[in-house]
Amino acid sequence: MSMVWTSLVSGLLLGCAYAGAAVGLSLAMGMARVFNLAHTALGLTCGYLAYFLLTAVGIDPLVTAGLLAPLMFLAGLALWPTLFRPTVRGVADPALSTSILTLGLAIALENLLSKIWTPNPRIITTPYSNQALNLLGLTAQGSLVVAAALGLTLLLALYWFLNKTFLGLAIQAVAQEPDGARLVGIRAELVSMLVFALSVGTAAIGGVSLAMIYSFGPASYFDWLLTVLLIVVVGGAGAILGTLASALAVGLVLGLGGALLPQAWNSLILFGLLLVILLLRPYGLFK
Amino acid sequence: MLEVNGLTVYYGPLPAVREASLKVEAGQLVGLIGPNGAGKTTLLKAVSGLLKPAAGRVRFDGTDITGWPAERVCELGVVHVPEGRKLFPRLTVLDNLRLGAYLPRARAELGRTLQEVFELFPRLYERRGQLAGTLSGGEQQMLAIGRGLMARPKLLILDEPTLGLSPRLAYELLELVKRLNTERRLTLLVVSQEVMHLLRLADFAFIMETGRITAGAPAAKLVSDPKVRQVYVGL
Repeated sequence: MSMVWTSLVSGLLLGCAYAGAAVGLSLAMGMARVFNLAHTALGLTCGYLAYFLLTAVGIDPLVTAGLLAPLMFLAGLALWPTLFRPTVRGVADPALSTSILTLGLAIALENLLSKIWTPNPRIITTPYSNQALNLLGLTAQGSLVVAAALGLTLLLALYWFLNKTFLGLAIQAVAQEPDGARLVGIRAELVSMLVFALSVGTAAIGGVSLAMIYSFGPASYFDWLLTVLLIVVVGGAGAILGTLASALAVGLVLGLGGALLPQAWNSLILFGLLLVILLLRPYGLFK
Repeated sequence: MLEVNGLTVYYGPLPAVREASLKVEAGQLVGLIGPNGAGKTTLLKAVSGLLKPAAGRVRFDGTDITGWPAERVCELGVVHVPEGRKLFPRLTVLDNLRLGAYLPRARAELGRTLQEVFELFPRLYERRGQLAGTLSGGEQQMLAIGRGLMARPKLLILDEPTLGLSPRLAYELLELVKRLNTERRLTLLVVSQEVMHLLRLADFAFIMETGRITAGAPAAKLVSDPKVRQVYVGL
């Protein structure tokens, strides 16, 4: 019985970590109409950098995540006018054109990572990684608790930003009614660029948290992407709390399924659920 | 205050507005009337920057604003409350109003303006926590005008503020527009299908037909014009 409770807690913690990895993608899809399939590949790149800085210089991955987030934000600002705007402008279906662009970007990153760090799997091991922490009488792995805290903090910070600041409201305004937004003086194009950059910035935090709990290779971004896309679709693109709820649900399936069923069943259950949800509520459960 | 000269605007492949000219003086309430499809909405969109004109000039307070993007036109004090309202449906009434004061000039006076808007529309105060998309048609129209006022406009452009309202609500709304003009000395350019009521309230009015401005005269004169009465009221 206690094994069930323990995997329940692990599942919820895993869900929080995934929520951090998914929330930026949800934001970009819902608020800037950009399908960034390179979201987890960018995150994985940050995971490798965290691994490198930890093993070479001994810098804690949390510090690396904090440093990389603003750098990735700047990278997002640079990518928008150079890669994304030309791909979106005058295109009938921006979701399709950005999907293809970012899939290419993801594959390029995979090859780059493979070149630098070889295809061998890597593991981030910090002093707290394998420490068993006591949570309400149940034990949880240290790295999982840290990754969950990181993901949850990121998601709640974004929720606060979107609903309590002028800029956050402007972002929602542009997503809901672009012409109305322009008529109150909001520069819609700048806001889209900001949302995209913000999303890329969060990819750093999400990527480092996943890299702290899983062993990873250059192709791991694809597994992460599938799970993250599932979370975004179920939660509803642009719905921040929906992302959290759906990430927790996915975490529970992974956590409980991992304890009770053979590994192969996990994906079957998750994507079977995705199919059912897409058929019944294609706009997401929480939107 | 606003001067439109020889404006031509394409909507798709055809010109929806052809060489239109009109003028709004400071302090005036000006009506723009005409049948559906005459190009009124297109003309207003070209003034506020949602559409780019193909030819002609738009001046505001001596500044040439032809072809400026909407956000810069708004910054200058020309605020457009569009047809269909274009509210932010999944934000609260209060957040819609606050976004109306997005630009620095208006944001500095947000608290005061908000109080004024709530005095003008007590209904919006009651509904301030409700999502804009759940309001009734009349309330949404109040919110659209309220959001426009939050920008502290020098010229407020209202496109069909009475569309879809009951005759009684439409009447009350136009009376309120008149009060904005007389009590708050706001300059207004208003499009409405409530032709006779608008003409009685307005100082000056223009008639638009098939993309052209075909008449412009003091509103009192147009009210008694037999041709206008025949076309717009069926008298």
